[in-house]
Amino acid sequence: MGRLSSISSFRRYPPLQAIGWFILFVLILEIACRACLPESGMEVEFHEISKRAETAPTPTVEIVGDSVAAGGILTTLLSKDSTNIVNYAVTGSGPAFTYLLLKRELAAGHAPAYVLIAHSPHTFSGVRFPVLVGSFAQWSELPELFWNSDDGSAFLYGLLARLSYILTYRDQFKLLLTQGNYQFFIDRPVPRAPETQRLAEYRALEKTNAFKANPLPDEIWDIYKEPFHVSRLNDRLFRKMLKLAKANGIKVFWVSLPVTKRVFDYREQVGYRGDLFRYLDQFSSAGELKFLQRDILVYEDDLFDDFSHLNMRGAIRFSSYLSGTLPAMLAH
Amino acid sequence: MLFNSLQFLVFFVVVYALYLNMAHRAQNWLLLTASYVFYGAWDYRFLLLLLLSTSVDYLVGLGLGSSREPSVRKRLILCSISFQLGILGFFKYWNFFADSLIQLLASLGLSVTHSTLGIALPIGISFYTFQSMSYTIDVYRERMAPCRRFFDFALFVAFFPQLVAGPIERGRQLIPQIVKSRVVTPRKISDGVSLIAWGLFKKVVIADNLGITVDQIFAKTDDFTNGEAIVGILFFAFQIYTDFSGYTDIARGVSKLMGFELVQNFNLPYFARNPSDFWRRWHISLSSWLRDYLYVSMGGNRSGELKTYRNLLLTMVLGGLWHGAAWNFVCWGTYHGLLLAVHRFFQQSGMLSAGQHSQGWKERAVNVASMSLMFLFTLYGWLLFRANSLEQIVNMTLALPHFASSAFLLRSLLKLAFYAWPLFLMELWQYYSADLRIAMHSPAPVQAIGYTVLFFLFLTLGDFNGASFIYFQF
Repeated sequence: MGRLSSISSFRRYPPLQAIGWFILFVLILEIACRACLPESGMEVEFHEISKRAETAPTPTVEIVGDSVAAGGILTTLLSKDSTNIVNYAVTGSGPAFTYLLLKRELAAGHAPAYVLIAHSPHTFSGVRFPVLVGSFAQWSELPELFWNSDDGSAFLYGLLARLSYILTYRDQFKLLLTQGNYQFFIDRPVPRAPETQRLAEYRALEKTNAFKANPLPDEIWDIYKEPFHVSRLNDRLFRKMLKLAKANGIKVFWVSLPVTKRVFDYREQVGYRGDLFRYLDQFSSAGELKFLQRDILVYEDDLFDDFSHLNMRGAIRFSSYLSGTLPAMLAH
Repeated sequence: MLFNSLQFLVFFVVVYALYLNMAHRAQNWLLLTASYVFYGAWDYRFLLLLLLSTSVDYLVGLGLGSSREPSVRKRLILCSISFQLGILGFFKYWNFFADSLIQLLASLGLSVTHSTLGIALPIGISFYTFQSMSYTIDVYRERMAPCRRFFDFALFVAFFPQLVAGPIERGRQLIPQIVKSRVVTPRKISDGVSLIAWGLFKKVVIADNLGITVDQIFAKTDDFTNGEAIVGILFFAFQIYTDFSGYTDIARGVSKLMGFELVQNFNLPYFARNPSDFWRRWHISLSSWLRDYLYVSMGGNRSGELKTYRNLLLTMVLGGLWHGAAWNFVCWGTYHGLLLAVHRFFQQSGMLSAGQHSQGWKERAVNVASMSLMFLFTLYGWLLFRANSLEQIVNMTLALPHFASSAFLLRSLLKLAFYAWPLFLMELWQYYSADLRIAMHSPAPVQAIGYTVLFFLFLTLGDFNGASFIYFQF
C-alpha cells in the first residue's frame, strides 16, 4: 500500500515543516498584498457596477457592453425626458459578464424594462477568464461558468487568480521587477468621472478650442484583423441572457458601435459584418433581440481616442444620433 | 499534456488522490492507465506503437528467461534490438536519410525524387525504445530476471513521469519498484515537492524567458555581432540545462510523491572539469546507457588505444544522432567524441592528472581554470546543437573572436543574472557543500523563505504560455 505512514511523524520532519511554513508565508504575503496594495481601475469598476446594479433604483433603460460603450454612449444625451437610463457597460467585459449582471439584477428585483446591448463584436470571441472568474463573478456563479466553458485550464487559471493577488497583478509585478516601474502600486485607481463632469470639461475645452483628438497609430491592431468568432461560453451565456430577458419581459435591443474607416474596411475584407449579422439575425428571427442601431456607422478618425474608443466629441455625436431612435424603441 | 500546464496539475491531482487510497496492484493498474492517457493526450494513434514495442520486448524477455540455448538467446536479443531500432529508424530517421541520400546524389549530378512519407515523430520514442532495450539486454546478459507480469512490464515502459523525456530507467532499477509495494514517506513527499517546485521554476522562469532571446538570435542566419553570438550561445546553454533538468526534476519529484525513485540525470554539469567529467554529470541516464550498451559492447577500452578512440568517437556520434535526425546533432556528437578522445590522449600521456577536490589554493585555481575551459568547450558544443544550419554555425563562429563590449552584451548578461540568480546560488551552494540536497538540511523557516521567493518569482516572471520542453522533440 502507498498509504502515508503516519501523519504524526510529519510534524517531526523539518522539510515537511518547511512546506507548512511556506504555506503560512504565502498566506501572509497574499493577505498583506490585498490589504496594502491597490486594485486596478477595472476591478474597482466591477465592484461599483455590481453594487449599483443590485442596489440603485430600477432603471427603465440599461446599456450594457464593454469600455467602448462605457465611454461612447452618454445617457444624459440619450434621455430627452425623465426616462431613467443607466450605462452599466463594464471595461474589459463581454457577453458572459452581461448575463451575470442581468441575473443579479433580476435576483435583486432591479431588472430594467429595456436592455441595450452595445458590446464590441470582438468581445464575443474570447473570454477573459482571469477577469471574469478571477474578479467579476461571485462564488455562487462559478459552477455555471465552469459547466458552460470548454476551456477548463483557463477557468482554473481564473480561479487561481481569484485566490492570488500576486497572480492577478503579475504583469504589474513583472514591470516592477524588470523595469523598476512601480507606478501601479502607488497610484490609487481613479474612478471614471461622472458623465456630467466629463461633458462639462469637454465643453470648456471646446469653447477655448483646446480640445485635441488623439492621432491614431499607423498600423491597425491585430484584434481588428481577425474574423468574427463567438467562443462557446459567450455563445451559451448570450443565449441564456436573451432567454432570461424574454422570460422576464425585458426587451433587448442591439446597438452597433461606430468604427473608423480603416477598421471597417479591414473587416469587410474578412467578411466580418456578414458573419456578425448572421449570428445576431438568428436571435432577431426568434423574437429575442431587436435592432436599435443595426448599421455599423463609420466615423472620422478625429472622433476616436484609439481604433475603437470614441472620444468625447465622438460620444456626443453618437449619443445624439441614438437619442433620435430611442423614442421609437420606448414606444415599442 | 505538459508538466508546466494546468491540465497536468488537474490530471496529477486526480491520479494522486486515487493512488494514495489504493492497494499496490490497483495502484499499478491506475498508473498504467494514467500513463496511456498521458501519452494518448499527445497522439492516441501512437499508443499502438508503444503497446507493440512493449509486447515485443516483454515476449523477448520471457523467451530469454526460459531458454539456455545461446543461439536462441542471441536470435531473441537480435530480434528485440532490430525491432526497437527498426521503429526508431523508421519514425525518426527515414526522412533524414532519404533526404540526405537524395542531396548526395544530386551533388553527383543524379536527379532522384522520392515522395516524402510525411512520418510524424512519436513523442518520446527515443526514450522508451532505449529504456526497453536496456531491459532485454540486461536479461540477455543475465543481470536481471525477466518480468513475468505483462502489466508490470508495460508500466515500466510507459511510466508517465519519465515516458516522454526520461530519465532513461534501467529495468533492474525500476521494475522491482513496480513489482513490490511502495511506501510514501514524509521524506519522499518533501523531496518530491521541492524537486517539482525547483524544476518548475527552472523551466518556467529561467528556460522560457531565456528562450525568447535565444529564438530571436537564432532566427538570424548571418550578420551576427560578437555580442549576439555570445549571448545566443550562453543563453542557450542555460536554457537547455534548465529546461531539461527542470523536466527531470519534475519527473523525479512526481515519482517520489508516489514512492518511486528515478535515477539522477544531472549533477551540476557546468562544474565539470573535463569532457569525461561532463558526461558523468550531463544526461547521466543516456551517457551511462551509451557506455553500458554501446561503448562496452564495441569493446570499450579493452582492445587497445586506437580502438578505444574509435569506440569513443562512434559512441558519441551515435549519441548525437540519438538526439535527432539532423547533421548538426551528428556534428555535436562528433565534437564531444573528439573532446573525449583528446582528453583521454592527454590523460594517458600523463600530461593531465585526474582532477580532485583539494583544499590547496593552487589546486583550487587549477580546478576553476579547468571548469572554465570545459565550460567554454561545452558552450561551443551548444552552438552546434542549436544551430539551424551549417551557414549559421560558420557565421556565428566567425563572429566569436571579434570581442567587443556592447550595451547589448551587458544588458543580456544582466538579464541572465536577473532570471538565473537562484540557480547560480543554489548550484554554488550544492557544489561547495558536495551535497545536492543541502537546501533540505537548512532550518525549516529558511527553506520556507526560499520556497516563498521562488513562488513569487514563479508567479510574476514565469512564462505561462506552456512552452514545450526542448527534449520532447528527441
